[in-house]
Formats: sequence, C-alpha cells, structure tokens
Amino acid sequence: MIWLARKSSLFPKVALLLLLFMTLAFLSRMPDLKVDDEILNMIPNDHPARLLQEKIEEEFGIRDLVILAVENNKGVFNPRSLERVKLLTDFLQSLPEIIPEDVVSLTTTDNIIGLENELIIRPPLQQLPENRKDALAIYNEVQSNPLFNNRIVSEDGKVVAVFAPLAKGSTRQSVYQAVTEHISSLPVATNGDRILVSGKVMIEGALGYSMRSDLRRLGPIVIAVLLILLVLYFRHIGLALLPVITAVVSVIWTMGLLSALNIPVYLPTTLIPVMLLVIGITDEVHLIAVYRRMGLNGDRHTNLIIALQRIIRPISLTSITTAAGFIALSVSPILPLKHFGLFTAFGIAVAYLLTFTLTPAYLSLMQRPKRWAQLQENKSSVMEQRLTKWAINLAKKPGKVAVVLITTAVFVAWGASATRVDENWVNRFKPGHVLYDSDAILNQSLGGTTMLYGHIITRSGALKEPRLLKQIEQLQTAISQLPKVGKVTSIVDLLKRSNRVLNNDDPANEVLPASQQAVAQQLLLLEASGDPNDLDIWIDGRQHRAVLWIQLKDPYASTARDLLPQLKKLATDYLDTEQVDFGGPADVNAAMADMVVSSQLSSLGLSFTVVFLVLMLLYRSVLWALLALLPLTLSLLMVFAVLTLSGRYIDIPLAVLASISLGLAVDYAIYVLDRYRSARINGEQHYHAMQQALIKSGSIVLLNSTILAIGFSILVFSNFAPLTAIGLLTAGVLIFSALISLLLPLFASRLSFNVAITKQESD
Amino acid sequence: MKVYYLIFITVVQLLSQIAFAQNNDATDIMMAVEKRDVGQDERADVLMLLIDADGEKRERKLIRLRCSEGREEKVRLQFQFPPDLRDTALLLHDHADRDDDRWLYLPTLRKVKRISGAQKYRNFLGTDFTYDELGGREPEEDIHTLESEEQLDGKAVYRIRSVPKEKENPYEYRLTWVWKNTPVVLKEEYYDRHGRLKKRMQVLKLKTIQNIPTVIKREMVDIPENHRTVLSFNNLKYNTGVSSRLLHPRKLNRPVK
Repeated sequence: MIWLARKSSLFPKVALLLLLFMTLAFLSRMPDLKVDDEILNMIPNDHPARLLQEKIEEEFGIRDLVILAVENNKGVFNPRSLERVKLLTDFLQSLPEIIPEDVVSLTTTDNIIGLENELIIRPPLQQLPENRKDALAIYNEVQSNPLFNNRIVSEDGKVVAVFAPLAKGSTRQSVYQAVTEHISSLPVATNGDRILVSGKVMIEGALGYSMRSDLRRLGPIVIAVLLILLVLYFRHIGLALLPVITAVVSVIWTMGLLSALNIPVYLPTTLIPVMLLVIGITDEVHLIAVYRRMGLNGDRHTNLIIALQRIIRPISLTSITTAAGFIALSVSPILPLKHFGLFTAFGIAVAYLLTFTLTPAYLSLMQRPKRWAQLQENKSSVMEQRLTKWAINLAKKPGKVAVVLITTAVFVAWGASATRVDENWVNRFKPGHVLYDSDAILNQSLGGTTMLYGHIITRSGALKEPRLLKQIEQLQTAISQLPKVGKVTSIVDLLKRSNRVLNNDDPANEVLPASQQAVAQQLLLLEASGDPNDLDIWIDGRQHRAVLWIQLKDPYASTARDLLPQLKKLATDYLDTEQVDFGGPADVNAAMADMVVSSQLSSLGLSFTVVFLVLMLLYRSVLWALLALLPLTLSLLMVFAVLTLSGRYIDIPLAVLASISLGLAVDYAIYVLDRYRSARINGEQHYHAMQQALIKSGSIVLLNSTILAIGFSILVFSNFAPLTAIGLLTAGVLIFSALISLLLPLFASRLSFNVAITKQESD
Repeated sequence: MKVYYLIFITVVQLLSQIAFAQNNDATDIMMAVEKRDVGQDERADVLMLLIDADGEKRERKLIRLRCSEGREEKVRLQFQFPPDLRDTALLLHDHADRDDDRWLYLPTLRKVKRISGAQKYRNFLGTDFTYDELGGREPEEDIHTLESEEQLDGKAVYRIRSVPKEKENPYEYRLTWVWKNTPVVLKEEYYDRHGRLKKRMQVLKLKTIQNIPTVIKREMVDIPENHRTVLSFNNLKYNTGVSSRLLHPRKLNRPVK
C-alpha cells in the first residue's frame, strides 16, 4: 500500500488521470441504475408468507392498488363532489398501468336493484346527478349494499373511494408519478373537497420517491456543510475538498458497480452513499491532520509517506473491521440488506484504495499552506490543551469514571431490553403528508386500508352448500368483533345481497339462499351481472376456494402479528374440515418486519463477532478487543434505549442504522487505543501515553465526530421520517461513541501488553 | 385565385369521395356480415369451456334457440349442465335500432326477471365474450376502414379496422378478418385505449350446414389475463321451425327439451 502511495505521489498526474478514467467509466453506468421499490422484494421469494400472499393473489386475480378518495366534511353526495369522483375514476382508468375494467368505483362497479319483475344492474353513479336530491338518492341506494357501504362509501357519506388495481408487471414509479402530478395539477376545490391518496402502490412509490428526492435535495447540503466545517478546520479549500472528493469517488464507483452488475437499488441500498460519505471522510481527515502537524520541514513527498506510514495501521484496522462488519451482513436472507452490506464493504475498500492513490497524488500536487511553518509537532492547540486537562482530571479518578460508565451501561441495557420490533410503512411519512393523513382518515371512515386474506380451501363445489356458507358467515361475524379489525367481507355478503335483491329487495330476505341450487343460480346472476373479476376476487369458478377480506384498522405489523393466532383459532372453532390460511399484505408485513429486524440484529451480532475476532487477532488479547468494542456496544444500546424511552420501536430503517454505528464507533476506539498502545510500546508511562493518545488521536476523533454529527443533523429537515431518525441517531451515535472512545485509555492501563507484539511493533 | 379555389375544392371533394368510398366498402362488408342469410331459426347444443391461466377448466352445456326476423334476433339460452344450473335460462332480444332486451329465469326463484341497465361491455355469464362481442354490436356503431386484403389460413379475407363511435367503449379499435367468399368473421382482435392487444377471437371450426357456412367452434382469449373461452356448437340445425313463442319472456320458465 505504501508502495502504491509512493508511486502515486511520484507520478501524481498519471495516478489522477487513471483514477479519473476509472471514475468516468463507473459514472457512465450510473444513468442505467434501476430502482426497485416493491416492499415485497425485501422478503426472500421463497418465504412462506410471501408465497401464500402471491398464491392467493394469483388465484383470485388480486393486484396492488392505487386508492384515491374524495373527502368532504359536508358530505360527498352533491353534484360537484360526485363529478370529482367520476373524473378521478376516468383518470385512473386512462392510465396504461391500471386495469381499467377492474377499477372499483361508484361509476364502474355494478349495483343490482331488485324490482318486482326487473333487475336493474348498473353502477350507482352511471349518470352525474343534476341536483343535491339526486345525489342523495345515490347515497341511499348504496348504503344498504355491503359491497359499497364502508368499502367504497363511508357510513356518513363523507368519503368516497376509488380502487384501481395495477396491471401485472407495471412499474409503480410511473403510476405514482402520473397520479401525483395529476392531483397537484388539479385546481383547489372550492366546495371543501379534499383528495385522499393511499394504497400500496402509492405508499411504495412515495417511499422510494421521497427517499431519493430527499437524498438528492439534502445530500448536496450535507456535503456543503461538511465542506464548510472542514474549511474552517483546515483553513484551506483544497484540503477540505479532498476528504469529500474521495468519499464522492467511492460512492460513484460503488453505485456504478451496482448498475454494471444490473442490480436494482432497493430502499436500504439508497443509504449506501450516506454511509460511504460518513465512513470515507474519516481516513482523509486523519491523514491530513497528521500531515499538517509535520509542518513544512521536509518535502511533500517524504512527509506524505511518513504521515501515511504513521497512520497506515489504524487506517487499515478501521477499514478492515468496518468492511468485515458490513460483509457479515451478506449472510442476511434479505437480498437488499445483503447488497447493502456487500456494496458498502466494496465502497470502503475503494475509499481505502483512494487513501493510498488519490490522496497522495492530490496532496503532492498541492502547495502546503505557508502557515504550516508555524505548526510545531509538539505545539498544542486550544482543544489539545483542554483535552490534556481533561485527561489529567480523569486519570485521577478512574473509579468514578468506571461507576458513571457502568451506570450508563446498565441503564441503556435496561432501556434496550424493552425495545419493541414493529413496522408501519405509513409512519415513514410525517403527519401532514397526504399519505399519512389519508391513511388515518380512510382507516376511520372506511373499513381499514390494510388487508389480510382468509383463504378458505375446500372440496370442489362445496362453497355452494348452505351449511358451509352459514359457518363462514358465523366465522366472519366472529372475526369482525376482534379488536382492530374493520370490515370483513366475503362471498356470503354477495349472496345475501343477491338473495335480498331477487326477493323484492326486502331487508328480511338479506340471508343466505336456502338451497345449493339457489346458491349456484345466484352466483350465475352475479357473474352475469358484471365483469368476471367482480366475482373472481371472492370465489373461484369451481366453488372450492374463497377469500375472506379482512380489513385492519391500522397498518402496524404488530396488529397483524397479534391477530393471526386468534384468527386461526376462530377458523378451527367455526369450520369443520376446511382449511383456512390467513395471509396477505398485513401478514407479509409482519413477517417481513420480524425477519428484517431479527436478521439484521443477528447479522449485527455476527458483525460484532467478526470485528471482535479481527481485533483479537491484532491485539492478541481478549480484553483489548473487548475494550475496543466498548464504544460500539454502548452506543448501540444507547440507540435502542432512546427508541424505547421515546416510545418508538425498531423498524427496518433503524435496524439498518445500527450498521452505521458499527462503521464508526469501532474506528474511533481503534484510533485512540492504537495511539495509546504505540506510546506505551515506545516506553511511555500510562499517564503520558494517555495524554498523547488524547491529544494526537482524541482531538482528531472529536473533530471528526463533530463535523459528521453536524452534517448528519441536516437530515432532520427531511420530509421522510426514516431519514430524520437516521440523521438524528447517527449524530448521537457519533458524539456518544467519540466521547466513550476518549475514556478508553483510562482503562487500558489495567490491561497487560503482549510482549511478542510489543517487540514486533517496535521493530 | 378563383381557379385555385376551384382546384382546391375539387381535390378536397375527390379525396373525401375516395375516403367515403373506402369507408363505404368496409361498412358494406360489415353490413353484409350482419345481414347474411343464416336461416329463419336455429337450434344447437352449446358447449362452453372456460379455461383460466392455470389451465383449470369449467364446463357448461346449454341449449341455444334462435329466431330471426330481418335484423331483429331473439336468442334463448338454457342451461343443461352443471346440474345446479339446470333449466336456468336467459333470453336476449337483439334490436338493430335500440338497446337489447334481456330476461333471466332462475328455477329456484320461479320467476322471470327482466334485466336492464347492464352495460354492453360487460362480460357475458363470466365468459371472455362481452354481450357486444357475441353479436350485440351493430355495424352502425363503428366507423369501418378496409385496411387490406390478405390471406388467413389459406382463405382470402378483408382486414377491416373498426373504430367505435362512442367514447365510453373500452377499445380504441378492433380488427376484423372477414372471409371474401362468404361474409363470415373469421378472426377479431381488440385493442385497448393504449393500443395494446387485449383480446383475440378466432374461428376454430367452420362447417357448411344446410348450405350455410357456419362457425361451429370459436374461442376468445383475454391476452393479459391469459384466460380463454371456447364455444362449440353441436347438433346445429337451421330452419327447424322453432316456435317464436319459446322466445317470449313469459315462456322462459318452461324448459325446452
């Protein structure tokens, strides 16, 4: 590596040209970068919950939905609001990604009206009403129909929804964009109408979109702030640019490689640039600080090589441990997380390579500032003096420090132990975001936006038997009484409805048809009355499979997780031999949250172990390795404790965040401990070694963490809740782990040195 | 100036005449299909096969009676199989100048109900055919253009492009292959509002019965859903003297043998 650095600093222009060429090659691949926002792809495609959902959806032709709704506090049943419903429906039907004939709306879904000798089959809103009276007549018409009431139309008539299924193989991005653009292009309603937006397609589309647009918006600001802080510290624009350039180049190589390998960007991999920015900057800041301290004595080339030789050990160590930590993520069963781990590790390797190529080439071409002449290697700055004082004070009372640390550890461990794992995709958006607000309103006014399917499997034709239908009806009633369950609908409701309509529309006849023949004939009527898909989502053509549509009142994974065992029990209570599988989006969501978080935590454990082993191998001491892991352990526990105390839970982005801590906290510990060790090995006493470690490495660590923490705090201004959390918590982890790292030498005095290593290192 | 104007007018007139002639040809062909002599009446056993994307099949058997009077057509469909649906019957009165009339008889209800309001773009009894596509659509409802004359499975055919006049129609246009020999539709393709092929109808078997070339097997495929319906007509006979009384709604509750 030093050889590489020597060559680069001797032939800087050649080195820079080569790197530029490589970077351009990777950059040219970037436009081909594909994006995959489908949440389902987070879970392996052979996971039982995913297989079940896909099986049910395939069998019944169920597709992911775009949900639009018109809400008006004075009621939607007036000519203008209903016209809006129609226009929204027409718009959705006109989109190439939407299956037009399967759009469910007041203007498209048939209602059957039974008269003495006639059946009128037509959508309730076939013609726009002229006046309020006609509009209210439509409301009265749909209210008695369970397929409209609380499903498309709220009980109080204040919300009317439109459900548009996405055609197979369509990209949700384009739909999301088309719908969002259309809605924002509409003039503001003067009659109090509000358009609500929901549905899996829109939520997932918005997730990817807001994450990317926020990163694009805030990313440059983060870089600019980091630059300003670095300029303030180095008081030199060229020097301040270098760490940022190396970080950006490593991002370009990594994202270019992703694209070259034809791997799409998933939600977690969106975070790679941020990660690399944080991790990549550290090495350069460290190197420049050491290089600067050498002043203007000696030529640039020699000084550079000496500086590099001084820090090659900590830099290599930190890169190896961080990369190893991320590579450990590759055992994750979740593909996006696997990619996240592997490609971040690749980026770290690139950053490491750049430290020995780009950096020496760049620095050897750059004139050193004249003021460096006054910088003496042993002259200390204000911060260094403060640190020394602090170190002296601390060294006097290691007992107290230990007590404080242990108390903190116990406290955070207690907090962390109570952490819940949950997931709520809608919570990715902040209150005030149309998706967040819409979901809340739709959950309250309609039957609930989160779906769980009860898949009933029985003998061919058995679903025409009144006895079984009766049992399903009872099961359905029992399920709808469970907490957090909204509306439950099934073929039973359709049959009861058709029975009533055929029998003079008498509410007393809203019961299941009496005989198997009657059921079969009414199914034929339902089939004859509309698109086959209208019936297909409830029951299959051979009448041996049916779906119970269970709408949940909140989108938390824990809601579905708690409900599943109760549902299974009810199914065995009410049905004899029929098999019922409960699955669908809510189940997959729960399974995915559990899986992502638990796999993330277990790969974190593995990363931990790997880092520990690497450290042990280097220090040849369990205790030293443990000591180096202390800041990481404590800051991780701290993250979890903060979550618990603030009433939050671990979800997928936060589980990913834990890896960031891994990337940083160990680095800081290694910088400080390594300094201390080499001072001790050089024969210094504990006190002086500690002073040196704090002054020479501690100041860099503090500086580094402060700069990055400020940079990351900017993410707080994101509209996207996970980015805010990541910004805040990363800043916290940075400061917290830096502070704990500074305390490490204090305890190191109690540890013995391996003589063999001592000898080796002093060579 | 006047000369130019005259030339312009003449050209415009000529062009519009050519266009009209073409339109007219295509419309004539479609009208010939509509008006082809297929006998006064007809009786057939229909086998309806619904095949879904997984290849799972559902079978239905019906008796079909038809009576025609000029362009007015009456059709009675009566289920024979499956047993649950036996004697369930549907009656369609197809009018050239107004909406079709329909009645349904459900044996368990013991009542004939008139069905109204259902849209003609809806699928018929859960098949892949809509009411329109089963013959309910009149030539006057589209603007026809003769696209080409070509060969289809060894038969000389016209290919006609028909654009619906009404804007609610789910299709942008339809291609029809009409046999030159006898005005019979051999193939149809339906293109959605984004110009994508949505459905394809193909004649699978053509047979001359009582000197009338007759389609006795055809299928409709829903391309995106990969769902198909095959209709086979067996024991088809023309001019059997089907009593038009059987095609009256009041007689729908009396099963025919």
